[in-house]
Amino acid sequence: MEMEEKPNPNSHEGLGRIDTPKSWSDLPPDLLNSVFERLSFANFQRAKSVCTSWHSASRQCVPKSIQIHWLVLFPEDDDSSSNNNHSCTFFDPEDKDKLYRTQDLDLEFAKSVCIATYRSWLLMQDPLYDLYIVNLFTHERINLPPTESEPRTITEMKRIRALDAQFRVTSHNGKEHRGFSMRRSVFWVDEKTKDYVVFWGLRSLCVVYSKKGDTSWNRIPGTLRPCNMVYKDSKLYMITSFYGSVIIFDFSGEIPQIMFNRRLALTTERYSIFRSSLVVTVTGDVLAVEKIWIRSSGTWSFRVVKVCSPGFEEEHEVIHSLGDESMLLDQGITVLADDNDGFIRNSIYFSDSSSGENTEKILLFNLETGKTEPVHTFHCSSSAQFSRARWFLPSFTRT
Amino acid sequence: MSKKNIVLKSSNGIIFEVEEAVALQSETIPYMIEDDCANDTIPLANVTGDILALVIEYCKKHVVVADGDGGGSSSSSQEDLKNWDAQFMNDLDQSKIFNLLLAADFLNIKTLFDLTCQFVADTMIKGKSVEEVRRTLNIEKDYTSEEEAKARQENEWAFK
Repeated sequence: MEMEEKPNPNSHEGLGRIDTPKSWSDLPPDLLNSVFERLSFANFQRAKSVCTSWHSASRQCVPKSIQIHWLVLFPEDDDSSSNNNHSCTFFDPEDKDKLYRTQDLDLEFAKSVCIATYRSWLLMQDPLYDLYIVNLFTHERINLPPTESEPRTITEMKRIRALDAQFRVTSHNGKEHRGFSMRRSVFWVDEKTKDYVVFWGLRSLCVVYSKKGDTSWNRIPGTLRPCNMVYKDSKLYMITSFYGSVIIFDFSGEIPQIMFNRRLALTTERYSIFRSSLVVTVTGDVLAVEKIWIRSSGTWSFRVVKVCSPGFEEEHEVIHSLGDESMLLDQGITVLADDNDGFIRNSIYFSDSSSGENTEKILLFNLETGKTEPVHTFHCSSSAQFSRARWFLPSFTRT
Repeated sequence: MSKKNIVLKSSNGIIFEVEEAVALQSETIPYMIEDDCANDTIPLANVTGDILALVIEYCKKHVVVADGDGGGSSSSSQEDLKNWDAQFMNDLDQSKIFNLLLAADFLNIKTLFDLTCQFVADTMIKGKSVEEVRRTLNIEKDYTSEEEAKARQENEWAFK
């Protein structure tokens, strides 16, 4: 039922904003962000350039694609071709036919190897085995202390040298030990303050770290034979094959403090623990996750054991359901899943390039059904020349 | 039991009388009733008649039949509703969509707000170049060429 009443343009009765926006560029930032957060990462980046008000509103927004794995393809390290370009290519699974290319990165980048990712930051090892962190999108670069150094607090070591892919460690009595390779690196960067901490294992010897402001690498005592590490909320979580221990260090202070150090009482699965990855859940439970390839059926299976509670109590409980969380195995974390628009609950996401079909895949293992299905697949033969690839979760940066 | 009606008045003075259940999909209207700021008519100072008509059309379609006799004509299947929503949005031009977004926000109708935001993201921005977005949404470029180049540079890869 509709009736016409005499319009009164001067009327001020009623509630609501008087200064009603007139155009898409005057939309209040909160409304604009409700639209922006529904855009994929690439579309969001373009939307920022539409006008100045959109650009400033975008600073408070996190686009949804933070929940989508991207693949970065590194340029081929080919000395023979001088016009080889040194850009990376991204594959955004949301936009299947599209490959994005970064602006030309330098030759050094092309010759470096990516050894870890954190959001859109890459930990790179250059041809001289020194490390740096670089942001894929903004190209901000953080140089790390030289790996060839006289490490602080390494009592039994005088010097680490990297002359080839192997490190040489000189002890105080002058004896040189060879054959230590860098492995199991993990790092974290604060998008705003650019605080960072980088960890890597010197093979079976120890784990070293360097924080913003440090000029050398520091050894963490008691970290023999590191197998797997996760860094989350100022804590380093580690499984070592030395007695099969789980160790948790708190890095919020000046000196790392041990919060938890237990030899796992897993008598029957003694060896499986060495192959496990650590995963820290949303609530702070620590899980040891073993990925198992079942040859007879050609399928993946997972064994998830809770080893430590958020209060640092030892546990040993086999987990059959992740509830409303989904696990990002490569990142070593779980996230709250939103079935409508993002990760699928009670599932494990993991990457796989071992299928021999020249493909890079993100797979999803559903704990309820026990089935594995591909989430994103990239066929390597289909495009750009590259030598290495890595899945990552791009983040948004407040520029 | 007779159904209670609510009278809404648009900014340009157009009166709409709707069933309470239809109007109460807005989370703003109950406050206006409770505040007794309108004893018979609820004035909506920043929603024009043509937009209010659209909002009411949407709310009528989405009203949930409370007495659950199953025969209610308004209770459509999820699939039907989805198709109806898509058609509803497709028939609108950018200026109507813009005002509908503001109205859905002001009246606090969550499903309509989400629908509109998603539509804007999917059909008016997604996959379009910056120039196309400006043309579609009638936005004037207010950057200097220098500023624009700088904004682009931040994420240069996304433009290729």
